[in-house]
Amino acid sequence: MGVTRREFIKTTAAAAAAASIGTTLLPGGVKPLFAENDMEWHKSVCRFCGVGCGVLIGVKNGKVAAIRGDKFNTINKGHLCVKGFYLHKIIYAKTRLTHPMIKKNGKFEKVSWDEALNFVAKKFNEIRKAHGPDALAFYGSGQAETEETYMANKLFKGCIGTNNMEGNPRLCMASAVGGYLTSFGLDEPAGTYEDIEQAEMFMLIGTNTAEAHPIVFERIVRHKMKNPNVKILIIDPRKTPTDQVADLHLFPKPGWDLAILHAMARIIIKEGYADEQFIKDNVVFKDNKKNLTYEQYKQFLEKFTPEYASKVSGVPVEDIVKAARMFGQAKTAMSMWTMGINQRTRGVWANNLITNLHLLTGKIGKPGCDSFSLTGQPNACGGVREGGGLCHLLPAHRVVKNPKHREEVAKVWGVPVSNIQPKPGKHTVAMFEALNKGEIKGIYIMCTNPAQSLPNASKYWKGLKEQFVVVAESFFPTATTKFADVVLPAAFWAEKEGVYGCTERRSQYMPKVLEPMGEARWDAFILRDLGIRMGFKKEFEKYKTAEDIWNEYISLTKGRDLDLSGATYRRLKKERGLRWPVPSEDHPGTYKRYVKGDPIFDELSEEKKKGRWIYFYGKPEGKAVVWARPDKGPEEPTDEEFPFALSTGRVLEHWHTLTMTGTVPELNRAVPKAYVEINPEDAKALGIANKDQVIVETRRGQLKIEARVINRPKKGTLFIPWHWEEWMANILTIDAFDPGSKEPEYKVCAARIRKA
Amino acid sequence: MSWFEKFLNKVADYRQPLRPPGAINEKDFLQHCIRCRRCVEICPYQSIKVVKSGLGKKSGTPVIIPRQVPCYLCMKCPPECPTDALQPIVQKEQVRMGVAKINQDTCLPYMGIICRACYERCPIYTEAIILKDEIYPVVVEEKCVGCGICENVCPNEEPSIVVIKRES
Amino acid sequence: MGLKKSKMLSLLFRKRRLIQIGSLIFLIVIPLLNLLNLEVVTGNYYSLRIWKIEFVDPLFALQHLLLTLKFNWQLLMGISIPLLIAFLGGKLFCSFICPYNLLAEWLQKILPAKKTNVFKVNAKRYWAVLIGWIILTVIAGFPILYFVSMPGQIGVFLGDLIFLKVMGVESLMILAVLGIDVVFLKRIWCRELCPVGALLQRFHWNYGLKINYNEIDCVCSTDEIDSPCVQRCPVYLNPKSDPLYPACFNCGECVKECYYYGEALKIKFIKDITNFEPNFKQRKEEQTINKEEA
Ligand code: SF4
Ligand code: SF4
Ligand code: SF4
Ligand code: SF4
Ligand code: SF4
Repeated sequence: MGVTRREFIKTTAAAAAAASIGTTLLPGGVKPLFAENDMEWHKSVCRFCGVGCGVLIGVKNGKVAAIRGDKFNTINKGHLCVKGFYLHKIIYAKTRLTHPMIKKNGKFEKVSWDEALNFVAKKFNEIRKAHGPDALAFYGSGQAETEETYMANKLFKGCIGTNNMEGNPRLCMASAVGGYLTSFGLDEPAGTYEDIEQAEMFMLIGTNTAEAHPIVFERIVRHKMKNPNVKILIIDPRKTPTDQVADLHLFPKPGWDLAILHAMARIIIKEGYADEQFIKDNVVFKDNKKNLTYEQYKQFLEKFTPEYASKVSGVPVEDIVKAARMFGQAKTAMSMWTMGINQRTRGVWANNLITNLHLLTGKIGKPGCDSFSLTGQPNACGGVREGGGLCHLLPAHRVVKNPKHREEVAKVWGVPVSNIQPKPGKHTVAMFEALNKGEIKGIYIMCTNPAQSLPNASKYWKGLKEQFVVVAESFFPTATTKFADVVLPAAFWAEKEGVYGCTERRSQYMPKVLEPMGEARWDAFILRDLGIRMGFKKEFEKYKTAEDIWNEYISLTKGRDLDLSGATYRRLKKERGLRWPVPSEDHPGTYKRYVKGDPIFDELSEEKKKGRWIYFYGKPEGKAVVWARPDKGPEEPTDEEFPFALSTGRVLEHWHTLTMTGTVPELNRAVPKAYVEINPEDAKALGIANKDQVIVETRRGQLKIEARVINRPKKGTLFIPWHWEEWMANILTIDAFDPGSKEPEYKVCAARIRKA
Repeated sequence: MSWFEKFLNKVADYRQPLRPPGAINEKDFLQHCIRCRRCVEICPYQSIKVVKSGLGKKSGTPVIIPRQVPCYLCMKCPPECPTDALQPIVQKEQVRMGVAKINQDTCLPYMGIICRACYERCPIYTEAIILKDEIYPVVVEEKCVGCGICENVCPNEEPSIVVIKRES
Repeated sequence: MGLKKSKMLSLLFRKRRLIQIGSLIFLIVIPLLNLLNLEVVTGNYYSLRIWKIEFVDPLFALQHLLLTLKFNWQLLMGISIPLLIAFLGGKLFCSFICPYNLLAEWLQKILPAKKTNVFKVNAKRYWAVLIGWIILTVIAGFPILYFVSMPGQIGVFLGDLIFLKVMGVESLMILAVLGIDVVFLKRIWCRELCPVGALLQRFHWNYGLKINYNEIDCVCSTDEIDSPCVQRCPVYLNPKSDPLYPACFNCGECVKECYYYGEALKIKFIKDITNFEPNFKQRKEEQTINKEEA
C-alpha cells in the first residue's frame, strides 16, 4: 500500500535506526518536484509523441531547469508522461552537436558554417548539373516544425525542381492518410480528443495506447473510471499494457485482422445495428474496381462469417460476435489505431475497414463518435501531412499531380510553375533503394535517423555509404551520421520557435527560450542559407523570422479544408493551439468536421446539403465510401522455417532511435536495453529462460538479444522494442510496402528464435 | 542534496540491509552466515554485494542494494548457501526479502506524470503492484517479494519506491 | 606398496611450493570463472564448492554450531574432507593450501635469514588458545573469527576485489597480522594463535603423518640453533625436539633439508615422533671415526 510522506519517513527511519551500518539519509520525500518558485515558465509543446501535450518550460538563470505539464492545455490538462517530464535534460545532453563537420579522409573535422554550407551547395549544384534535379533528394521528419518542412519543400520541389522530397511520416502515417482520403476524401480525422470523454465504447486496434500515446490512454482510463459502463475493445496480437483496461481483447494472428473487421460489419448489418438511414443518406459502396450497391456489399460480406474470420485470424468465434455487438450496441463509439494498422502491406485497406464500421452504424460526426487515427510524431500531421512534406504532396493538402495546385503554390513561392514536376517523386523505400542504385547521388537528411529506422535497415546502408549525404541533426553521433559526409548542427526544441500540429488537427506554437547551443542553427535558416548559396537568393532571402515563413504557409491554406489563416503567431502565442479549419482570426477553431460548426460545412449551400446534418465535402455528393476490400494476410506469413511472427514497437520510457531519451539517465534506468518478449509456453519448448541471450533471425538478418519471458505476446509471436541502435530491430523487419500508401510492413514478419 | 550527503549515501546504504532471497531473520542470519560469498559469486547478475564497512557484525555479509542491481529471482543463491542462512526456496513467489513502499509525495503518477516503470517490471506482474484507477501504483504488501526491481527502475532521481526489509 | 606410498609422499612434499602457489591462483580463478557465470566452483577457504563437492572450514562449522546450537547436515558433509586430511596429516592445510602461510614464507625469505632462537612447544597453551577463540565467538554472538581467519580473509579480499571490485578495511587485518607476525613475533600466528590451525590440529591422529627424528642418523651439531633443519623450519621449531605437535604444520621443509645431511628426519605415519637410541653418543663417535677413516 502507498504511504504518505510522514508514514514513509517513519518506516524508513525506523528501519534505518535499526541498521547499524550507514547513515539515515532518506530517498525522496524531501525535495518537492516543482518547488522552484523563481522560475520563468514558458508555454510550449512536448517534443515527443503526436499527442501534443502542452508543457511549461521552466527557465532559471538562463537554463532550462524543469518541465511541467500545462494545466490550461486542453489536451493534457497539466499531465505529462515521463518522457516529457525529462525533456529539459535532453537539451543539455552530452551528445549535442555544436558545430558543423565535414568528413575528410573518413574522419569528421570541425569546419565553419560558411565552409560547410558552401561545400554542400557546391556539391548539390554539381550533382544537379551533371545528373539532373532528380539525382538529389530530401528526407525530412514528422518531428521537424511546419516552418522547417515548408522551407525544405520550397527548396527541393520549388527551386531545385525535384519531387524527391519525403519524410519519415511515410513510415508511420501514410496508410492513415490513404485511409482517410479513400473513405472521406480528405485527410485527418473528423473528431478530436474531446470525443474521448463522450464516447461509450472504444475500439483500440493495432495500438498500444498506454505506451505510445500515454496521455490519450490516461484520458480514456479516467473516463472509464468515472463511467464504468464504458466498454473497451482491444484488437491486438499482443497483450500490451493497454490490455489492462480491456473489456474484451481479441488476439488475431499478426497481420490477419482484416477478416475480423469484415465479419464485425456483417454481424452489425445482420443483427440490425446498422443505421440504415445514415447509410442511405451519406454513404456509397465501392470495391477495388467499381461502385457497388448496398445489396452487393452485403453479398460481398457473406463470405466473412465469424467462423471464416475465426479460421483466418485465430480468434474465437464468440469473441468476434461479442466484439461486433459491443460496437453495435454502444450509442457512441470511437476507434483508435496506430502503427499496428498503418505499418502493413494492406494498411490503407485496414484503415478503410475500420472506418466502414463507423459509416455503417452512423457513429461518425456525432460527439463521442469517430474513427480516430493516432499519430506517432509530434508534427507528422502538421508539418508533413498538412505541410505537404511527401513526394506527391504540396503544402496545404495539395498534390503535385494537380496543375491548379502547382500553380497556386508556385505563385506563392515565387518560382516558375514549370519548376514543380507533375510526377510524384520517389517515396521513402524507393528513395533509399535509388540511393543504393546510385540514381540519387545526394541527399539531405533532416531531424531523423533512417539508418536505424528504415525497415530492413542494413540493406540501405550501402547507398548511404556511397552517395553524398548531408545530415542536419541536434545530436551526434547517430546511426545515420556515421554515413554522413557533412553534419550540420541543428537547434533543438526550445532553442527555436515554430509550430507543431498534433493528432487532433491542433496547431500549437513553441517559443524560443534559449539560444541554440554552440554554433547550432535553426533548421529552416540552414535550408534558407543553403538555398541562397545554391543560387536561389531571390526566393529565400525574404525570410527573416519564423513568423515570415508561417505567414506565407498559412496564406496557402486559405480556403483549403485545413484553413489555418486565422491561426496567426499572435494568436497561437496566447492560445493553447487551434484546431483547423480556423478561417479567420476571430474563429475559435473546429471541434468536428463535416457537421454544423465546421465553417466549411456551414458555408455549403442548402441545396447541396439537402437538409443533411453531415456532409463529407471531400467526396462527390458528400458521401463517404464504405469499401469492400478483399482480406489479405501479411507479406511474409510464418512458415516451418520461420515459425514466429515478429512485431516491433515502443516502450513508454523511450522514443524512436534513442537520440533523445537515450541521453537521460533516469529513462535509461527504467529501460536500459532491448529485449525480445516471448510467450512462456514457447520459451519452455525452446529451453529459453528469462534473461537468457537468444538469437532472433529473419530472412534479412539476425540479432542477439536478451529474452524476456512474459505472458504478453501470444503463442507463436515475438515482440522487440525497436529503440536501440545496439540491438537494432530494424535489421530484422521487412521492407515490403503497401502499394497504395507505400508504407512498409514493420509490424509483421516471419522469424525464428533460438538460445545463443 | 550536498555532495557530502551524496557521498555518504554512496558509501553506506541507509536501510537495514536487504538479504538475498531465502534469508532467515536478521538476528539469526548474522549468526548463521559464515560470510563465505558463495551466494555472491553464484548470482549471475551480480545482484548480491558484500557489506564492506569495517569490522562490525555485518561486515562480510551479503546484501542487495536494489538501486545498483536488484534481485532477478533466478533462485540460484539459496541452494548455494552452505549454511541455513539462506533457506532453499524454489518458488520466486515465496521470497520475502523485503517489501516495497511507495512515497506518494514524489511518485510521478501522483504528480500527474504518467509512469508505470515499477508496475511494468515487477516480476510478480500485476499482483505485487496494482494500479489504483489504472494510474496510481500501489504495492500489495502480501504479494511483494522485495526483489527491488521496482526501486531499480524507478525513473525518479531519487527512487519513489524503495524496498524496506520486512520485520519478522 | 610401502615404497610407492613413500615415493608419492616425497613427491608431494617436494612440490609443496607449487601447490601453495596453485592454491593462491585458485582463489583468483574462482571469481574470474564466476564473472563468466560458469558456476563450476564458488567460494573460498571459508567454504568452497568444486562442482558438487562441498568443503567447509571446520572452524566455521564449529562457530555455526556454537552460535546456532543446530546441526546442519550440509556443513557436516562439508567438513568431512578437511577433517579427514587433518586426521591423517594434522595441519597439512596450513602448510599446503593456506595462502597466508605462502605470503608469510615469502616475506621471511626477504628478511634476515639467520635464526637466533627456537620455541619450545607447550601443548597446554594450544588448548587455552582454542578455548579463548571459542569464548570470544560466543560472547560476540556472530562468527567473529571471520576476521582472523587469514586464509578466508585473503580469499574474500581477492574475491571481492575481482568479482565486485571493492575493498574493505577488514582486509587490512591481513597486512597487520602478516607484518607483525613475521617481522616481530617470529610466526607465532601459524605456530600457536591461528584458530584455523588450532582446531585442525585437534583432529590429528596419533598414528598420523608426523616428522620423525632418528638421532642415530643425525650428522649435525647438537646445538639447538645451528642445525640446518632448525634454520629451515618456517615456524621456528626445532624438529629434533619433542614434543613437536601441535605446533608443527608438517611442511616437511626440515626433512627436505636433512636429505643433504644425515637423512635423520623423515615424515611418515608413526606414533612417536622421535626415535632416541640409548647409545646416541657412541653412534656419533662411530660416525666420526668412519668419516676419518674414509
Ligand atoms: S504523451 Fe506524448 S506528447 Fe504527452 S508528454 Fe508524453 S511524449 Fe509528450
Ligand atoms: S535469486 Fe538469483 S538474482 Fe536473486 S540474488 Fe539470488 S542469485 Fe542473484
Ligand atoms: S552463501 Fe550463505 S553463508 Fe555464504 S555468505 Fe552467502 S549467506 Fe552467508
Ligand atoms: S513490488 Fe517491487 S520489490 Fe515487490 S515484488 Fe514487485 S518489483 Fe519486487
Ligand atoms: S517507477 Fe517510481 S515514479 Fe514511476 S510509478 Fe513507480 S514509484 Fe512512481
